[in-house]
Amino acid sequence: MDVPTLETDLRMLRDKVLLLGGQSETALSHAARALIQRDSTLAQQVISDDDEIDSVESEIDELCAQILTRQRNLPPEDLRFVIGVLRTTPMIERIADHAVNIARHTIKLNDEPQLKPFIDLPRMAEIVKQMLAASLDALTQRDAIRAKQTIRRDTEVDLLYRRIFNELMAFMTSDLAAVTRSAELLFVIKHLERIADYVTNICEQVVYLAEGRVIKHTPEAWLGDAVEP
Amino acid sequence: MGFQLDQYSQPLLKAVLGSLREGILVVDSQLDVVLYNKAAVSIFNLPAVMTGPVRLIDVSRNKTIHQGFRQVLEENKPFDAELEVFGKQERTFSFRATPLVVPPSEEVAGAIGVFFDVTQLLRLERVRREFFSNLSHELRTPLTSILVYVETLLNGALYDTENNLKFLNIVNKHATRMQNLVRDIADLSAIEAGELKLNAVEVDLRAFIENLGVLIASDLEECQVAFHQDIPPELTVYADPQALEQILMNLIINAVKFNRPGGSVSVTAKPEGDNRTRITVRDTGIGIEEEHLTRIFERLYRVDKSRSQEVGGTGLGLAIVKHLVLSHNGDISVQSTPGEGSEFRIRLPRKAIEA
Repeated sequence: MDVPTLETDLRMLRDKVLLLGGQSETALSHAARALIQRDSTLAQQVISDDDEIDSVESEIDELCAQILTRQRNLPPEDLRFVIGVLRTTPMIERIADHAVNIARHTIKLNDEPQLKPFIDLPRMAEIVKQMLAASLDALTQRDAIRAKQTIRRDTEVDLLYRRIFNELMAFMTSDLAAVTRSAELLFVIKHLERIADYVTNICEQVVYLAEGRVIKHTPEAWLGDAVEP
Repeated sequence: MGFQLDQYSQPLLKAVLGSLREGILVVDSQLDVVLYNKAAVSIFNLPAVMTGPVRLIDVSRNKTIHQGFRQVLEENKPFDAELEVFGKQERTFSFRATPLVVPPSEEVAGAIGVFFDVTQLLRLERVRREFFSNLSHELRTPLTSILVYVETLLNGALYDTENNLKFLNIVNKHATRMQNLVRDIADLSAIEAGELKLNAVEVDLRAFIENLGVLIASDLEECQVAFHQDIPPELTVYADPQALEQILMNLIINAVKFNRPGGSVSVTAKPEGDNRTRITVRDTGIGIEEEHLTRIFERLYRVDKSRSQEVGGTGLGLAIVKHLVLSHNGDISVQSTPGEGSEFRIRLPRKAIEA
């Protein structure tokens, strides 16, 4: 058997991380669709697909460990990549977990009549989906500009979160029968908001991979960066 | 990949691939995309002009695609699956990957993936399935009631003078509902098959609507809805009178039944363009949510199942209206504000076109 070279190892690692990203994207898209279209079968599928996502995460961890043991003198850029992967993978996996939680709340919500037609919620889910896709594209291309653009969209999500939160609180205080469903929806928007936070963290890792600098704790240092429209 | 195309074959291959509607991706044994066509560019993350091999993971993160290509390379046999591609629009593709063997070698040099967009097909399939499931429901519900009441009558209730007439009336109501449904299905099939003979004449619209107003008087009274019409004198519509009655009656009856007590229905019309008449049926009813607006002309599509049962429609009215309008070379559109009301607009020819 051929001994894997550093190049093939790194290529396999990159493939696996991005495939994991693709699986999280699917989980989020399916969870959002199941919620909006009230499709409990699809929600159930999101829950059962998660086991595979967890096992891919373990494979990635193992591969990183192998690379680090086999290649004692990794070039700095490759070392940064492996560290970046080790940091990013749990975030991608957590995103899928949040999608699973949305699916669980969806199944409960579907047992009861719809509270009201969703307007802001599909918009919030759509933005989060777009952010996740953009962050993975940025990761694919090590595109720091795209990553920073994506981080900026987090404020849109926070704004919608606030708005839906207030609306649901108003429902709960005015109608006792709406309390349970509103509470379920409060969880759903919290999960979406958390996913957007993880996407932000992934983007920060992309900047680290591309530019070698950590922007997590110093937003003021990069907020002024030139950003393409 | 270990093969070269000659000067003649290369542009030919490019032209053939470019003309295909299906997206084509060719990968080598290392999962690098070495060839793709124009249709693939519209599906995946690919540069419009190929400058060199692209890693498959950079083209798509879809698990099924990777699984398919890997399986083909490892097992040397075709792979078929349905997959979703997320982007601005979520689309579903039928994906088939086959091994690529370039003679004289017998080794698998790579794999060819063909992506056929089945989004529209699946949508139509869903509509068809829903139609049959709704149809069996619509037929079963009245049939069950009829059987129950007839059985009760046969078991002695026929001689129960207090209830027998009531039961027979219920049987009659459900049988009529089934008859209407069967009639509407037959009508719709005839229109769709092009079997309906339209005898178009110039109809005086004002007199025509006035006459319809008389026919719906009892419905208006029952639903406590007022009826207004504002049609300019001498305005005509070039249509088959029987079909026109069916179109307008369907729209007006819907406007009355999905209204609120004290509400109103108005029918207005005006000439438009060279040879068109626009008729608008407006109500002050419950309105229709945006998500349902595009689907209300589908057969047996119900916005609110319980409400529809209550008002007793067959669920085919709007589908018939749409087809009848289209067979007159007309068009129909709808606007609605939930809670405020709906407005259906139809445009039909005004006069016969002189040959």
